[in-house]
Amino acid sequence: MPQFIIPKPTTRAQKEAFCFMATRHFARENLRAEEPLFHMFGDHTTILQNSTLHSGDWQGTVAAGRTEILFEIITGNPDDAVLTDAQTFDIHTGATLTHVRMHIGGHQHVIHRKVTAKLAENAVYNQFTLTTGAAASRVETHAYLEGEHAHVNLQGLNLIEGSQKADSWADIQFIAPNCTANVEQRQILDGSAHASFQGKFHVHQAAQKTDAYMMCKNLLLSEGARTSQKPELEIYADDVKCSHGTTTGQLDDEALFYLAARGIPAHKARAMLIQAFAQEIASKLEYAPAHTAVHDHIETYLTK
Amino acid sequence: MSKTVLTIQNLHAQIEDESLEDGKKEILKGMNLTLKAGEVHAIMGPNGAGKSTLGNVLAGKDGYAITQGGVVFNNENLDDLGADERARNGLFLAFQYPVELPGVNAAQFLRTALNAKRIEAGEKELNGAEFLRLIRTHLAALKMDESFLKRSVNEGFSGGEKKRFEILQMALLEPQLAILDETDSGLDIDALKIVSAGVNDLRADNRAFLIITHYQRLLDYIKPDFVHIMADGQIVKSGDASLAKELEANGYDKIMAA
Ligand SMILES: Nc1ncnc2c1ncn2[C@@H]1O[C@H](COP(=O)(O)OP(=O)(O)OP(=O)(O)O)[C@@H](O)[C@H]1O
Ligand SMILES: [Mg+2]
Repeated sequence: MPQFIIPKPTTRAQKEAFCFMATRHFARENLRAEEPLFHMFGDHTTILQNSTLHSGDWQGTVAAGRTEILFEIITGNPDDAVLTDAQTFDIHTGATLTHVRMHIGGHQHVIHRKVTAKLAENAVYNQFTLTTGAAASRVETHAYLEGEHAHVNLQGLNLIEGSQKADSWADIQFIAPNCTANVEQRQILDGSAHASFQGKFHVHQAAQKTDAYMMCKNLLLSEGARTSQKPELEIYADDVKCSHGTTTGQLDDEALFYLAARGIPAHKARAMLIQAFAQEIASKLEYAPAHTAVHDHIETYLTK
Repeated sequence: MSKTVLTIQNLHAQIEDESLEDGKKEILKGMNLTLKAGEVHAIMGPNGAGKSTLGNVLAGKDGYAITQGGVVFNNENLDDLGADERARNGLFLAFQYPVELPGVNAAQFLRTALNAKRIEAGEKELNGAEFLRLIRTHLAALKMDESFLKRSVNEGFSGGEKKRFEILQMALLEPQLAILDETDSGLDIDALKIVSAGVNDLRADNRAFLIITHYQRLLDYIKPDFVHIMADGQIVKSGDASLAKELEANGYDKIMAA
């Protein structure tokens, strides 16, 4: 039996909790698919028309030495759904949790999700979030690196347009020594979309030899798109390596000319470069089914 | 009489850049040049003469204004065509500094470029397998490893690999007019031979080349029909292949004073 526990939805409220969430458990040794846990809400439109607030609290434990994957896809109607949830993951010694989230639902969704991950010695938490849906979304991640050599890897891609807003927030607490973190955010903004990114590395006094990297890259496709970012370092240990950076730019004229000089029409050239910017981060997803889903969704989204 | 591919007539072009004093600066100051099908022309000239500017203007890069004269390519006024249309019509520029495109897969890039041209010509697009078969033969001819197809365009390529990749694109797209801007710079001796052979293989009665170079050595491998010396935005002297040798021996000052 897989050790990773996400409560099977029993109550009606739980069943409605996620637009569409598929959870698959794979054991490390033999890729064994358990019965997927589907929380449909896209198809339950009748329920949703009466109640538009969905919330849930989830707790999961990844037992020592296990590798587990949580793959969530939030999609579908109705347009004005509100999703708010809080997940807490306890990742035990030497365990890995890979958590992939695709927020690709209606443009009227409101999403507020909070993740708290506690990592023991040698534990790994990989998180990848793709957001193309929701009028407003806020994703928060609080990670506590409590055991030595724990590693957090957060990747986020916001591909938004119109008046969409996306807010990404990461707070990484380095408590034990020798822990590492890699936080990479990319935002592709069109129309008058607004994305904000806040990332904080808090290195406690005992957390010597912390190695942490944070980068936020923004691609603005219109005059009206806006971005704000706030990387923060709070460091109380003296032997640490922490770096952060942000870049904001438009499509590169030299690159567009190079593609044009090879006969590629302007609209196609733009799409190729936007896609390249997006896929560069998507390509870091090692879990193949999620990689394919993310890749395909980006492609469909950009060629729509 | 072979057909005229390109006619450059009294071409004056200025660069438009906000950082410049008046926002513009004239670089090409009355260029005249005619290329017929089957011919290879070499352009040599000191740094800053305007050689790359000429290539950019011909290829249709933004940021230049033609203030006098014009260019006719295959009976069409070039100014009426965007950069991508010119390319699909058979004009190819091998860049002096090829652009890195992180995240743009090389195979996909090559296939998109080829299919854009095929669509324009009313031909069927090549599917992945057909394309792969075709590109493999070109890769082999240029002694390039197939692994290049999996990489991002030019990203992390060595200087010489970038130049080879330009020639690969040229071979694939079979242009009518190929402008090679210092394709020999940065190539080792073996690569120079391979690239030259790639160019020579493409020499044909219906194709013209404009080869920008600083070195006579390239012209030992690719024998030009004409050599032009460009200085300060103009062609100041034209001759046959012997002009390049003369230049190598005597330098620009003597030749231009003569
Ligand atoms: N954006 C720009 N702003 C100002 N001057 C420019 C700009 N781009 C090019 N120039 C100038 O135009 C002139 C011609 O440049 P070009 O690159 O065409 O020379 P070139 O003959 O190709 O030289 P090289 O042999 O060094 O490659 C140079 O003096 C260069 O500094
Ligand atoms: Mg040049």
